[in-house]
Amino acid sequence: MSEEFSVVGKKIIREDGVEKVTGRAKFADDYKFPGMLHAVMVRINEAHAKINEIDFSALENEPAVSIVSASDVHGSKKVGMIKNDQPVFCSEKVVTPGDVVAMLVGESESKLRSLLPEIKIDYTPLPVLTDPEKSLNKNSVLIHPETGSNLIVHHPLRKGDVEKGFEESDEILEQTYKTQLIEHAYIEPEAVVAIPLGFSEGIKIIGSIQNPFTARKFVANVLNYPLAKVRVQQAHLGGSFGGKDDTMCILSARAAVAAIKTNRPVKIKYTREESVLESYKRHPYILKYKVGYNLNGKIKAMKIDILADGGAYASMSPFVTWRSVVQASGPYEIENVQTDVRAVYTNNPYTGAMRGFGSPQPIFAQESLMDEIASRLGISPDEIRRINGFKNGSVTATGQILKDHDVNLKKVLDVACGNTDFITKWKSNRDQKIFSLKYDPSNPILKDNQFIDPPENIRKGIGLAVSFRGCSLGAEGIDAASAYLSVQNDGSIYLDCGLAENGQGLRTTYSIIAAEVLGVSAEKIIYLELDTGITPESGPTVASRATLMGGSAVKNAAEILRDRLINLIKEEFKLGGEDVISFRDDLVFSRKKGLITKFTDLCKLAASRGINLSAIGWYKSPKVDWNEENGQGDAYFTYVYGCQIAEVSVNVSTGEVYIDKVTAVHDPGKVINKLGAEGQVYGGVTQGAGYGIFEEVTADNGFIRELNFDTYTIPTSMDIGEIKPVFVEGKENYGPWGAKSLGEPTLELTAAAIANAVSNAVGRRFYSLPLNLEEIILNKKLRPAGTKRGSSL
Amino acid sequence: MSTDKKMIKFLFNSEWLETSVSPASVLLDFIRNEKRLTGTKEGCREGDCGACAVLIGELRSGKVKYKVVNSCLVPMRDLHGKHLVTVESLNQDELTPIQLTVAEEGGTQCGFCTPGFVISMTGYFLNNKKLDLQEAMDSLGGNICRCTGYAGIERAVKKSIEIYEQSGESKDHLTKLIDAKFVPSFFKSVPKLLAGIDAPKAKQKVSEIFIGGGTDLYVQKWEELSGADYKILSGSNIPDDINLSGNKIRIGGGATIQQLIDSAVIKKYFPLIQNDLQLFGSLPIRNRATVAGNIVNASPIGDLTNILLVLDAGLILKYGKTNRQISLRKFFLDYKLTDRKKNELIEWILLPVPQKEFYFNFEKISKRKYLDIASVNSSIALITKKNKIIKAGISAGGVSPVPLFLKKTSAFLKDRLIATETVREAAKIALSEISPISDARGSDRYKRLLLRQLIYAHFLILFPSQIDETALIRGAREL
Repeated sequence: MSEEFSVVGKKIIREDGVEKVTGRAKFADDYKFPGMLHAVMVRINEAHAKINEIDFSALENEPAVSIVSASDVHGSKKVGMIKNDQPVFCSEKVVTPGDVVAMLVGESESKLRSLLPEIKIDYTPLPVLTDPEKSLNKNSVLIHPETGSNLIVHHPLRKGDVEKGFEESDEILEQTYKTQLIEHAYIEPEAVVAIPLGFSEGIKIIGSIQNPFTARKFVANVLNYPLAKVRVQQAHLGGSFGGKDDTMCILSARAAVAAIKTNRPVKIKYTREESVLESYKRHPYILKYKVGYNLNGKIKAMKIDILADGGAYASMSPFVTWRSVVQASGPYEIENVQTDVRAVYTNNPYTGAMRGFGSPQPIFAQESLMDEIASRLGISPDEIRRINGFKNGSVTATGQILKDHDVNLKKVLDVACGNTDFITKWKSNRDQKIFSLKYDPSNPILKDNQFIDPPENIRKGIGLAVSFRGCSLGAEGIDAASAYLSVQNDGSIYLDCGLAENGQGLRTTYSIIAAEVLGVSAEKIIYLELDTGITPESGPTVASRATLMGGSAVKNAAEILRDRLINLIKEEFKLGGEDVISFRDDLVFSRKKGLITKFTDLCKLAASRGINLSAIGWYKSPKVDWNEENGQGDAYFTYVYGCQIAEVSVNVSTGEVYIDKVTAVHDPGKVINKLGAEGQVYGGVTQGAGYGIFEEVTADNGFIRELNFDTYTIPTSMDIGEIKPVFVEGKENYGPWGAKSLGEPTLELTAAAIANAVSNAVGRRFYSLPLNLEEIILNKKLRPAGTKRGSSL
Repeated sequence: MSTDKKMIKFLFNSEWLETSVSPASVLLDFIRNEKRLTGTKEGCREGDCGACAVLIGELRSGKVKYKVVNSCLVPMRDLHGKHLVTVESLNQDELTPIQLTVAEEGGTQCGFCTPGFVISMTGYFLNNKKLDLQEAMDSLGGNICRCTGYAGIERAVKKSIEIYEQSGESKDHLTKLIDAKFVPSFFKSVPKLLAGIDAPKAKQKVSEIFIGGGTDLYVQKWEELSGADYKILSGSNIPDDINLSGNKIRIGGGATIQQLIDSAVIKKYFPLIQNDLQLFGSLPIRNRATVAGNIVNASPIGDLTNILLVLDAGLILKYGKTNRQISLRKFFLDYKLTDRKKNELIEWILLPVPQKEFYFNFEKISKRKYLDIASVNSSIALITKKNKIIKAGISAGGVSPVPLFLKKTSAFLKDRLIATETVREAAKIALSEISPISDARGSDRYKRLLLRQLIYAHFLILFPSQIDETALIRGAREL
């Protein structure tokens, strides 16, 4: 099947590029309205405390300052993505240091901040629970007593009989892995403005909001307004990566409550410190794997027990951990699998959606495990994956048969290995003379013979990781999207979709799709701002579903209009019903008669004939199903496959890790937006590398220590070597021309590949992220106190 | 108060601006809140992200020298007589080559960091006639981006360099940049305009807090500072030049780290220090942070103090008309406590001119190689005669409450032969002199281990032929 494309897959400049390079693009904090007030948060410096009384009497002489708290909330006092467990304003207790008990609202933000110390709060500290492993103990304090347990969710999966599988195995390996809490670190801190429109019209919200329709639902619930009275307009979004969802929904609701109370526009704008303090993060996981395998490399059984620290609120934990249960045994066909994934409440910062969404953690564990098995069996890392990896018709752990698309796991593995000369490098690194770095706790100083001179200190390592990933929401929920396309009399075009731009460039991708169908240049398309008052709802921009779902809706809308135009042409130009009409280069052709007309003239003609040239496109995902009891079912309607290979240098005398190169081979289906797709790879790999070697939020009794970029170090342009994206475009039945997902796969593999590369360099395995310095040298975290670790020493 | 309150006058993009805002208030707030120009973004307010980067041009011997700075850490007082350039003033009828290539090459995704990158890149082009991709990327080290993985940005820099190099011959660098549309044509008239500005008019109230570059003080307490009138140090009341005076190199207390890197005198006598100082913060921070500020800050893990200790720096402390001299090695008393008396300023830092057979090395271990605080750092300076150490200085950071000069180790090294035994013994003594604590940058054990590795590294790097690491290992076994 070879299809000729004129726009798809070509290098097209971002439609908002000019606005952004000139500084004209307006982000939420760039909006200012006449009479606008500011709101600042009142917090208690406790991780868990019962609120007795909040004394605002010091503000009595400040008539210009309004206090907004739970009593001003007329609708839902608690909200949440899945469970309504998070108060808009805490009135009874706080359960984590980011919690907000009230807001001060007034003209000057700095004045308001200076008043914060004047507010006296009487509270009773409660026991603080920070260890997720103690969370389900009978005597542990309950974070939300009304739920009766600290268990947020438990996803079981049962396939075959693991005990029988272990009995039939030649060897059994058990390991525990540990991943860390990390921050999204979008460069734009949260900001939102709520503008009251008067009682009959409701309220308008403009903010750095990932999902305007979710924010609308939150605001409507909190104000007790019908959805139609809440209009959410998305400002340019300064990065999100899954992070500007619940937090921004709640901030929108708080701003809305204040705007209604004061009848003035109210802005909330967070400092970096507040952003890190209150926003949700990536779940730390404790992953226990037991695997049985035969000497020929075939894996017989896998038993997995995963505990996710959900922190103080449920947020997206039930869905994040659901993806984990589907994918935890990796892209491997295993007869017997038993997986249990639990998420629990603690008083730690809460955790929710972040690019990768429950996959980077199990991938780190499962890919480390595969390398370890290979090493025990004396085979190479690629070989163990070839033996067990999915192929067409394989059955997944959830009992799903992989069909209707190219199962490209082995292809991406082959391409990646071929591109990097993996086997040769892996073997030569493995056979380097490795100095023993065994650490003797009684003598912290390395013995002299463990010192190696500087050039020899640097060891090279290469490692790979593979994954499969379910596209879009899967059995999480309803999965549909819509797009609005309107062709004007002169051939210029308006386009809009209910999926919100998150900075990744979906508006450009959608413009390319519409342009391809209508045979026009992408610049002809004017992309409209998303406004929940105008745009049809399409679910959230999450789960790498934008190109697949929104793109299909755009294509559908464009095809509706194209078909109307074809009918018109056939009538007007007296073409036979069997003639094929095609649109390209702003021209319209008939297979039989050649050039028929210009696109612009056709639009003029259509207008004069009263043809409707506006359409709503729609796409609903194919059916998926899920059995909650045994974790069996067709979890996602299609999957993507990826392989990343990391090449690193490790300084074995200091523990420093440098990333020399990452080769990222992905099968995202058809690549629509070439520049955007490559951008996803560069960005995703860089974030994944940060997860692998730098980034960690540590909390001391619930209090985050790394509140800004001086201590929370993300990669700079100097830190990562070359990144090489390679696309293997497999055949796919769904999505526009078979395009599916890419954004998250690019990130989920990198840390696992780095861990395998570091092991290849130093001849030892690692069980905890991030991998750097003391972790490498002493098998210790940089932050010492009480940090749980994976299998060690 | 004086009737003429508008004491700060500067060129704001292409227009004159006079303002009466507090001289200690923050430039970023002025740009965004007072002037309502929103292309300059607030990302971290501590100089770590570069989203608020702007260019400040200063007239120096007839030419305007532009520096990239983080506007979140710049007090308004420092704008007087300068040219402030925000992204808005680069916008012409068409995109500049930098703007165009960033858009074309996927150098922008969410776009929040983009104006800061455009500014930093423009700053690089304004400051360098000979363009080099790696150098240009180094100059962007202070701008962080979470979306693009920097690949598109690097391609944009590469293409911009090509555009510049392919543009026609012009009589000077600035004209060429203007002709190729990198900057608007009004940049041509800026030197003349700035020459006409007088020194600040009104006298300022003097408080007891001095602000140098502000790169730490504005991180710690910008809200407190911005409301008040503080005496702010600048070229007018403290020297910022670097010169040779007799057998001493004199560094003005107001000199910035970047001035140190660019100084011909430093280049001549300490040719390798430039590379080490590249690890000191990012360019926008180095453009502001002063040498004196770094010393007074007394951070136990400071990179510059670590180096200055082994170079046997002396300080001239000034109070009014009196001044006194003290060795830097005696200046640090306890954690964040120095010998500086109230209202004393560091006027000069004096370095002895190195003699023949002078060796210097600096090592730093941090999680992130660039822009990070070290777990442990160490410097060494040696004067040798043939194979013998005549004079030695060795320091260690991050292993005690103060920037630590290793007295015993330095004394031990004097008059020793450069040999494996010496190195091993020196490392042992060094470990007896330190008192590291476990913190975010490592456990005490790890820091001890690192210091030993760094001392070994000093000698292995400086004297690869004299130190036999095989013997070092074998010798240890025999012991």
